[in-house]
Amino acid sequence: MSSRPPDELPNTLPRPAGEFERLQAVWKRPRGWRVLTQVNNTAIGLWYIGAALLFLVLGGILALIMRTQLVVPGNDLVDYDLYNQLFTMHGSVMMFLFAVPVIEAIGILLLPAMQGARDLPFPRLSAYAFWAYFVGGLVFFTTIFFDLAPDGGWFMYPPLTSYEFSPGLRTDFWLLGIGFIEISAIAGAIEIVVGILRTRPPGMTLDKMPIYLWAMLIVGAMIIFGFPPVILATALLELERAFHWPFFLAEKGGDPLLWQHLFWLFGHPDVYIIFLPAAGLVSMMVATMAQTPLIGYRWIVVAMLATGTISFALWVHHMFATGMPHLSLSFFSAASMAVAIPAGLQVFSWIATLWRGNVQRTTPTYFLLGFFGVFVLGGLTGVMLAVVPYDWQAHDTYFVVAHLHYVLIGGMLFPVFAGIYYWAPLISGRQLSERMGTWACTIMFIGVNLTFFPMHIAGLLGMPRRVWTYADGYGLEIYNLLSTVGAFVFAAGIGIVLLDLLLHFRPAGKVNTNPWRAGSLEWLPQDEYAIRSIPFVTNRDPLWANPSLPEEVDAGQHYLPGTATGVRETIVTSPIDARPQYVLRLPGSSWLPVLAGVGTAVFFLALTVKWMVIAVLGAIVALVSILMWLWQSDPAPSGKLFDIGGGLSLPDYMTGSNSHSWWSMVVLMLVDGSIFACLIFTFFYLWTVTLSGFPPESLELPLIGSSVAAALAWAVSVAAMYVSNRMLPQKRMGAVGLTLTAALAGVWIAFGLSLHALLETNLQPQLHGYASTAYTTVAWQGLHAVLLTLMAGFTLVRLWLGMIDPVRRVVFDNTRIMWYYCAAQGVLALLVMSSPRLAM
Amino acid sequence: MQHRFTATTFLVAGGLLVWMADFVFVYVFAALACARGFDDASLLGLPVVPLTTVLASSLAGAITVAIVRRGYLMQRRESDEHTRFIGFVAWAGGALALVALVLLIMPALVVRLNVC
Amino acid sequence: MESSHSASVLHPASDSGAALIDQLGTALYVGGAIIFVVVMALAIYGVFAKARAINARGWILGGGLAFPIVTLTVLLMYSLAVGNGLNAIGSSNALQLFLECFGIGDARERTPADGLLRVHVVGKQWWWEVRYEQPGRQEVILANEIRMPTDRAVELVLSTTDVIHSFWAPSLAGKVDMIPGRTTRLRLQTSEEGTFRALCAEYCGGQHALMALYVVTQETTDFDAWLASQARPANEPTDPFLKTGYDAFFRGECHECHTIRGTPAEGTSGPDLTHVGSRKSLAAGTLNNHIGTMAGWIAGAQDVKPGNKMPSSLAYSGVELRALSAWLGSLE
Repeated sequence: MSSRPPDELPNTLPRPAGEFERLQAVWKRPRGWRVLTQVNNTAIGLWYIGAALLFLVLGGILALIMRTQLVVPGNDLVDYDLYNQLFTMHGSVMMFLFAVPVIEAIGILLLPAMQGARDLPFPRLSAYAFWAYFVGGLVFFTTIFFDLAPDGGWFMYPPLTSYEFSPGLRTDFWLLGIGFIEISAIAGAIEIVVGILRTRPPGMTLDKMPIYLWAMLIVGAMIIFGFPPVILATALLELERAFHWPFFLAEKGGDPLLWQHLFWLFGHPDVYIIFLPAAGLVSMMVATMAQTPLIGYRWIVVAMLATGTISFALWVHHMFATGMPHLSLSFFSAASMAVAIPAGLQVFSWIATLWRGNVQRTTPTYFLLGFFGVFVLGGLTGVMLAVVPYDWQAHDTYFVVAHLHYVLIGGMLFPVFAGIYYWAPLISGRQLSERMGTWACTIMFIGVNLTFFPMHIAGLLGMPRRVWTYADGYGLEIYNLLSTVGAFVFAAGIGIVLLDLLLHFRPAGKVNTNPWRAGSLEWLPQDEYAIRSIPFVTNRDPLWANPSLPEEVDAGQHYLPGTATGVRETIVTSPIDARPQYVLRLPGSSWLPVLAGVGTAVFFLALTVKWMVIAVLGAIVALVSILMWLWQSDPAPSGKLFDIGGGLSLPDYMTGSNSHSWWSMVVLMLVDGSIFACLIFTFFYLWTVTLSGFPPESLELPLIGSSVAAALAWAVSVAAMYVSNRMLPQKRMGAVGLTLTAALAGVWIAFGLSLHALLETNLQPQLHGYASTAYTTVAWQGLHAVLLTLMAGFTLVRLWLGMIDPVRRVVFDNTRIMWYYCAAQGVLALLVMSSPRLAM
Repeated sequence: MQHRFTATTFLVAGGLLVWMADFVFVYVFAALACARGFDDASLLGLPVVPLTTVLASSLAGAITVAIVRRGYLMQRRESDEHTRFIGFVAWAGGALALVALVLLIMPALVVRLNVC
Repeated sequence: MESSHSASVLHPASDSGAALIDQLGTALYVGGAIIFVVVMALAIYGVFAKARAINARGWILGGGLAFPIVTLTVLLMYSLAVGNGLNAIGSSNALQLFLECFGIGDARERTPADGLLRVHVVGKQWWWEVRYEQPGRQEVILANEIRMPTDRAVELVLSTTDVIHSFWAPSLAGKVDMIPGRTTRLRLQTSEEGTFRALCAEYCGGQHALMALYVVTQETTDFDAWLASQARPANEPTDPFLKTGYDAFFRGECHECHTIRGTPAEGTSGPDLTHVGSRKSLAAGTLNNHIGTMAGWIAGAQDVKPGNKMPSSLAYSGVELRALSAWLGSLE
């Protein structure tokens, strides 16, 4: 199908009567209290950003209290115990409740507009991610008022955070409370990755993607591989705290450094997960403000790919002082140097673009200049910290505090605020106050430097991080005083931006404005339905290439000018070449994602305080809502082809790897597989560091007979699934159901035998790192057995109701591929657990 | 021109992924050498850890050069703009990976070992 | 507490590891400042100057690729060379170490003739136990103070009995963590006599902020004399006032946690007090050590350093408290 632009505009004028009205009607925003049921990205994206800004303010207030405490040595405004909660919450709130959510939120708001889609492929998933995050985040934050806030630092190093040194609920709030954020982040990543790969407009091949799409695609992939280590680490630490299964206790075959490896294997990519989207925004804005195409577009793509990859090989540079061998550290030093190259590449591309164009001197530009100043300095101190011997001095001092704030504020906050001024007109139809913006930018720039530059010096004068007070007589007084003054200046700058938003930002319905004369698609006339018709993209800056594009699009002269299937919909295209494949029918407003999100948050939080009844209720609400929403998610194919213009007729249903749903399943399996890979890493890591035998001689290994039998059961289960898949095209539905049931039985037999292999030995999870890891591995299989049971049950019911047939088989296929994955994982787990036999 | 997703992904990110694999191998090998005490062993008269690092990285370099060549030819010979772009990203990403490989070998040559 | 003891990366002790790192630091600050100024000038010029045709390829290949690659490669070599100097070999001259990588010159091996002096430092919430190996004799145990000679390298053997701590004497060397289940090592060396402050650099719970110690460097003869005196046990006082203090020590619960060699006090959960009077500080670098602070610390441990494991001893009378402080102060 079409890979070339149409010779003439796909749809002719005048458009049929009622077409536009029907489009408006299906995308109509619900009224009254039903406004909360919205799933449209324009609504969810805005709420999401609003919530993130709220957490920015809350986290900022915590910082101001800390700065006030540190204004003079020996101050007693807050005591050590509250201070430790304050800095832990400040870090956790800023990283988990502001930085990561805000970049996903901006993606959800802007991506569909930039890629000419009506919405991302899973609107309800976005809504779910938002509600779980918003409700859970608010409750998590309130722990600071009840003296229940975590106090182990946002990095939560055990053994300080394990049961012996941190009894009580504080740490549990962090470990479980962060759970819903992880789920929310993963949900957002699935939405973003599949959205970018599958809902681009026709013709938008890889070389024509706005640079922001590249940034978010790479970041989505990074979240898929970067969040699993921390998901596993928090689960392991919670198991250690709740059930005394040793993973991080040196005297029981664990290792405290295991936590640091897992945490920073997440933590370092996370920095780039936060920075790359902002860099993408900068690239978009620089080109527009300079009124010239971005110089080095191709190199920037390469630079972001390199950053994304290399960022996974930097984690040990947070561990340079752990006494690891100098050679091991040096590899990470080399990688840290390597990752600075793409950063330099991007900076020079931006500067070159500014040189080539006549730059519009308005607020977004000033924020971009602020970004340059703050970020480049942070980058340079980053290179200093990558130098191993220098880091031995600077590590864990205020020098690092200064560095990380320069990088995050420069690399993320300034671009995001530039973005607020740049994209606000897209939502509200008019610009924010130029005057307030200029003032805010100036004050923020002064504030950030006044706060954080002196911290470099304080650190070098011997001020460690995370101290609630410091001694006088070491020259620290003046630098701390300056920092405190600067913090309030900085806060005032942020306050002006928020005030500007309050005064001048009102979402308008229909918006037709392009104040900065940008070239990208989001500046086409927008409404609830996004753009009226979807153009074939032939250029990286379509609005510059074709100045009449906005009128054509808004008149409905391009593809899909109305609603073809009568419901909300968008065009699905192929992932690389962006060829139109089918019309995806999108779900509309619903309470289900709200209930599921709130239920998820309630489940995690109630579990923390051990209100088991409420936790179970939350879980039930979440689960039932999700199942009901999934029940509606595979509408029956009509079998018809829908004309979207230009002689292009598309179906409304596709299966296999053409289905958007298949892609989300694959992404989910990648996340799942990454968690499992981290578990395997845990196993081999503990084996390596445990010199006293793994397991020690007093412990047995899993029974070989049961293990082999379990592997065979997995094989039988897969075989049954395979047969089931062969029966489906032949319409032998009874046989399909029967083999599926048999496959499920196989799963539980395999799980039972795997568990039996452990239970019949003297292994108990509390005894040793080997036993705790082995039991966790089997428990992980149990979790998947439950998942497969839910999926199989769901599939069987739909089979029974005739909702699955050889054409409408997406549900069956998703169950099937997850099945194969679980079987592979199950067999691998058995092999790994028994692998110490080889060493005997 | 049609492009397969998996093939394109592995071409475009190929050099960097090879670098990643080499990095993990080199790091794990050095860590194991220290943990299991064969860090001062030698092979053919050369210390085993630097030797392994250089050999593994050279192999990774050879694979990356092949990817760079493939991408470069793709960019030069194809007429389709999209395909040429994919070729460019493949070779330029590979070239950056080669630089990172050189940086990775350096510690093995410079760092004095007796530190486990 | 008021102090003029050096605890700054920017004021390293002579011929120390910190001095070597400081040479590296200077190169980093100067290089970083130049790059920052140039990049910012280019960016500001780009915004405020009129549009112009530019050589895009030159910007990308020259500024974006060649410049960082060359700079970072040189920097990596330089930093690895300094790392060698700190770890295994070396002069205390960074440039010499750097050139040695290319086979130019010779950075001499630094293996002291009389070997390393080994000192064990154990991190605890929130103080430090310090032990000197005494071949053939009972080891010398003290707390919150390390002394070392100026002509020998000292190897600190670092460990912990509870959570992760990190030993950092900014004027002497970089920091190394103390991790449960492991021992780590840090080499200290300087030719300068003086008192240097060290701190815990890894967040270790409640009173992480109040966990410091002093490193005193002195001539070998002074050091040897000090170590010999530290090895001697304490004696029961003969002075009646001090005897009152001695009795108070044993009447209260002090001896349950503290050891004073030569007396029946053999507790092990708190610092060894055999020579507490000779130390520079109390409560791990929190208070200067004299009779007044000693009394304040005994009576108000939970006010001075809330959450620490020593209870405030409120049961003593004023006289007892003064006597107890005087006796402890006399243990030099």
